[in-house]
Amino acid sequence: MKTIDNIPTGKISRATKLVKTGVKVGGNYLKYYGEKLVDGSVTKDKLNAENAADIYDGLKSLKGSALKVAQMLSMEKNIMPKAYVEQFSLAQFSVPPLSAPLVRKTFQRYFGAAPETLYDTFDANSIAAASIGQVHQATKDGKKLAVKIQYPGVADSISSDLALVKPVAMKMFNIKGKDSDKYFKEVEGKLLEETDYVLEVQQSIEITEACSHIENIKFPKYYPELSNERIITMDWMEGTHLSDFTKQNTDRNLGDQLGQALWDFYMFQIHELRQVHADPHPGNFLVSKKGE
Amino acid sequence: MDKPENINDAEIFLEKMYELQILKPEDAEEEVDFFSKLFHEMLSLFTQPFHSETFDFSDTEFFGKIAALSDKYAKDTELRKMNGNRGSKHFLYMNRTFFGLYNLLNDLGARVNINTYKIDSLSKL
Repeated sequence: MKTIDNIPTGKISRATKLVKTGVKVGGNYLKYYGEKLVDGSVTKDKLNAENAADIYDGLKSLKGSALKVAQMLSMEKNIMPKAYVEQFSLAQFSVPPLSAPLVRKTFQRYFGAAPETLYDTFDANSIAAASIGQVHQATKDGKKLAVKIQYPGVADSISSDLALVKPVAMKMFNIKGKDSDKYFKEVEGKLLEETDYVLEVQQSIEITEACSHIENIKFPKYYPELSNERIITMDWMEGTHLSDFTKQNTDRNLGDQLGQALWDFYMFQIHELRQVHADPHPGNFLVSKKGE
Repeated sequence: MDKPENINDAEIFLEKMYELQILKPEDAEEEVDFFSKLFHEMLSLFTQPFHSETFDFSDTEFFGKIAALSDKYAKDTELRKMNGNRGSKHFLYMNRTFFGLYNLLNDLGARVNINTYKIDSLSKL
């Protein structure tokens, strides 16, 4: 898989990227009407699929908050045409990873140490990518660990990214009027919160304790001493992504058991803790061999 | 709002609409009518899982109704003319949480006990 050494962080270069996507989508519409003239059977589905793929390609190299917006939209299954949903669901899993030198640089900057001195072993190649970070495997004292590293520049680019996405989002969701700003401020605040890895470790430890009584939900152990603003170290969790699991599962009772665990987890958060942690996005959950 | 007796009591319903900033004091009469009807229809449907002890999330009829309702309002020309930004800012993420959870449970085809999380928290006290 090819890696990237830098992310376009300037507002101009990111804007260019979005404009290019816009031009390409326009081109797809032309193609649609062109093909329609010759062949009446070309459906809108094909058009949606091509647009979705182009928009996704445009967003992919932006990473960060633009990708986050793509993820948000991918959850609105009923609002988005199916082609968009399928394309944007990829956003969770496949983005080109940061190169090994950039990973080392991040460690030097935030720990003042190389990853090899902090862990017994550290795999320089990332194993998974998420919207604002990537995951590496490491071991220490015989324990398998997951190390999440945030992409550089993410926090700084959130506000300018949102300014770019705002006109599109306002059109899509039909938001008008002077107080539309409160929604964008809320999104901006939430996104900035997600870049705060110190807060994430603290909240994860709190929620793990508060929800420890709920059956069939397991949380990784977090290591604050091996975490900071840009890096989080936690236990490596084994399992199948929930989205893959649901595609193959034929055991109805197991589906009930997992569904019950998720229901209890979220209802407990909403009604008892009165705060919600973690997106109910299928990419955020693993199913273990024990059915947890 | 997750109890049918509250949703179907016109007075309580209207009061909650203002509390949640879905309706605003400056709204014209036609806006109050339109959005009360819209949110009554949506909430009655979305809160359906809470109305019984168990709910089967593999229910294609339930998800079909949600899709049909979203579709209906996505195409509503009257709604397009009105200011659509309603509701407290917390709605943004709470809606996403509920839809996300419903979709996950639908993918799992799960049959869920609605109230066991309460028993859980009681037994802990």
